[in-house]
Amino acid sequence: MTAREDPVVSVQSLKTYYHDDSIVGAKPPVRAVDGVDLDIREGETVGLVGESGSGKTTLGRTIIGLADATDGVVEADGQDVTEFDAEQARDWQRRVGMVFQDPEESLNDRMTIGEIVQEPLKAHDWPVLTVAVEGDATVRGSGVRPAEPDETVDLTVGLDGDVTVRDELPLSADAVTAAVDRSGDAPTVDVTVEKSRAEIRRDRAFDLLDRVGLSEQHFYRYPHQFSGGQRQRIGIARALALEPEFVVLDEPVSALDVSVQARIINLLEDLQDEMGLTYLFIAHDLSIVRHIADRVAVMYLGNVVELGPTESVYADPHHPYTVSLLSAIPGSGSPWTGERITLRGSPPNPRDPPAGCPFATRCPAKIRPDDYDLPERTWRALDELRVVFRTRARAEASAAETIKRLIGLDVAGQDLRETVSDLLADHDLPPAAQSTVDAAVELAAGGDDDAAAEQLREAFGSRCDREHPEPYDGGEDRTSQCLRQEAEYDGVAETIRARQEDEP
Amino acid sequence: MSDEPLLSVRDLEVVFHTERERIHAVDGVTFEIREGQTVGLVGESGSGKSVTARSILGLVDEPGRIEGGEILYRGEDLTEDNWADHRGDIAIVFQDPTNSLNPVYTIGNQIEEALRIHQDLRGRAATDRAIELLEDVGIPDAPRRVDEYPHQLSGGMAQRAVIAMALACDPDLLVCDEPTTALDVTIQAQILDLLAELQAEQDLAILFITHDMGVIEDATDWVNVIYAGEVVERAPTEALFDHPAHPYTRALLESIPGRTDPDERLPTIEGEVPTPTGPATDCRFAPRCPEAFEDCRSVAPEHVSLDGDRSAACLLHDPARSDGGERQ
Ligand code: SF4
Ligand code: SF4
Repeated sequence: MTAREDPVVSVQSLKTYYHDDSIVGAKPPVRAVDGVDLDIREGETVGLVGESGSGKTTLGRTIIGLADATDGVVEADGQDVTEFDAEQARDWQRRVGMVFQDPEESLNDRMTIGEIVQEPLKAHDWPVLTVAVEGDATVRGSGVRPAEPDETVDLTVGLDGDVTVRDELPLSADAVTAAVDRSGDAPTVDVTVEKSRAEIRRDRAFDLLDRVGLSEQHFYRYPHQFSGGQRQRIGIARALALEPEFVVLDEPVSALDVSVQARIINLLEDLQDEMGLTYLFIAHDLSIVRHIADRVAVMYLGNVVELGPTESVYADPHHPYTVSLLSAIPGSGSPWTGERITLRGSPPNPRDPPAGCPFATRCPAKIRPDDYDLPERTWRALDELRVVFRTRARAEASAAETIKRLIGLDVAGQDLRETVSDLLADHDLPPAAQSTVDAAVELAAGGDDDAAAEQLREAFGSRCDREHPEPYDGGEDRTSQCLRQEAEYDGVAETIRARQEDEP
Repeated sequence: MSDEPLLSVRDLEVVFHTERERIHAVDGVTFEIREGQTVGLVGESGSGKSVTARSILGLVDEPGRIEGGEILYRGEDLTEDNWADHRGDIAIVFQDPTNSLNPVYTIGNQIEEALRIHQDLRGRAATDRAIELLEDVGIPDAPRRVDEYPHQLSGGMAQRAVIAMALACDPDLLVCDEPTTALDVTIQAQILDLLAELQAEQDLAILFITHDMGVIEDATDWVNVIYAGEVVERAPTEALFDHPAHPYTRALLESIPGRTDPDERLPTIEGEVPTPTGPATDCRFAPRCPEAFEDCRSVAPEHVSLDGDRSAACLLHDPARSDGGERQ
């Protein structure tokens, strides 16, 4: 599968934020997609990986118009998808498809398989057959219209009245008659189709079921009569009904057993070859992405932190998050040869992402300031301490705490001091560092967790805490958003390995 | 480590009675766990692995019934209604932490409840122990988190809290039923590390139930492959991955995407896992087995011992039936 260079979709500085509708302005929005650039090229499969909450599903949904962009551009054929009016959006919906993770939830159990697969066809009044006539001619007839330039042509009519039907359609040329009238200035062609739309739709559904490895006998059954793998085939048939060019596959095999997974992946690859499809394949399973994707985009906290050809990224990841993800693949499926990197904690809240690099709170290769010469584990303890303060600052205080705070009582100061001394036990801090920590703890004990976190950031933070890295060009069609791409720093893998060696 | 296994499941039969048929969800499963050992039970959905897990805890619900075999805990048969005596000795962690936590009580309340029942701890002592347990499972700022409700925890943190709850009864055996399946890979890695640590510190035995061969490879010493209610292969983990002896194990390993060149099609296993509705009269894998021969359709294979303290229930390894002897 070699991808051609033209992007089918070009995502530029895209942001999708969610607001809580319930109480206006109650909380800052969730920054699900927070400034993404991504070209998806014709005929390729881009794997989009990341953990839950990374924004990968929202990115897929925004591209196909199922979620509203807050800012930025999704360009297709020179037009911005995010600015489409209702009619343009409908056209766009025809050209894209989506397959969902859970075939159980995404199929309506009260509809037969036939109805499910025909649903998009009906919603789009399919088919209205496009007709191209040799030379200049007017086209008339019901259920047909003249083909626009560059559009797929369903019926080709010769001036002798000969009709050819596009192979994909469940319609034989015998069922179409074209009467050519040359009496006027330009010829007029009257097209009559002797097969009802409903019949064409039904036959199209049969074709689709066949394509995905099901058969006509499944047409009249209901989703609950099928296994998970078969249901996913139905979901795929539905997504392909309108012959989209571009399909977003959102964790299409995650809910399936491995042996069933393998069959669905093979099917998706076959369909791509046969129909020239372009895929955005969203997954958290990195082994599957390695198998299916030409290029991989790694998402973290609303950002695509690394992008490049799959094999090259897996062989030599540039971003510390990619390294961590690859090392976390259990068993021998991991391309990382070193010890597994266990990330601390969980990703920050997307309502309140870190000011600098989104990965700075967990990064195993984080750049350290020159002011202190501390072992990496002490740096981490200090980072963790800051996370504790930040989490406390963001947590909704209980009623009792709020009252205590209002009347100026120490808020769980005892517990806090214990937590801090536990965290920093067996770390030798130089006196200057120790007094900074002490001062921060006092601030937090007094209720000002924000100021405490800020104080630690000032004293122990680095560029990683202040700058949001731009995508660096890594050559070979690769980019990554990490300051360590700059020449003055040691490489990512090298740094991680060195730090692992220093630690017990 | 004593010679007697901590847990020994022998010929376990669990049958589900429906109006039309009797489904033999677990059909003669036999395996052992020794103290401090991590044993895997790996299989696809419908293999009977989760029912096996629930049986060990006495949690099989109607219409399911344990109809045969023994579950010996330190030699005592739990199936003779002895579960109550060993409630605290065996604990279970399920796939979805939110199902194991009660949304209306704080994490602390729930752990303290377990401590009250199993350790007779109350009040401040219970709270202190709960905080300790949360710290043991790597929850930062535990003194504060103990007062939080389940919805305030991320998936990974909630699973840690569930593990803390399981540890509250100071068990000797922890049964983990797909404990990391609902979690992201980096969080999964944390939980696997945590379990390995706890095991080393507390000499826990762990039964790991999963469909994920990668997790099995990382986390277990010993593995049982289960198919349609039967254990078809048992082996030390490394040996199983190096030389799978049963055709089903081989097929399962091959269908993992990471093991195939990305340019090649993934090898697949055609057909579906059968639902056993009667005693086995053939090899249940025969309809899908690429190596099946005539006898496979008329003889139910018994386990054949192989080199290296392992066994497989496949006629290929039965010298009397197969021409090739041990094919690998
Ligand atoms: S910029 Fe800093 S924190 Fe961000 S990924 Fe690179 S090294 Fe890590
Ligand atoms: S007994 Fe026969 S059918 Fe069963 S696994 Fe062995 S070779 Fe295959």
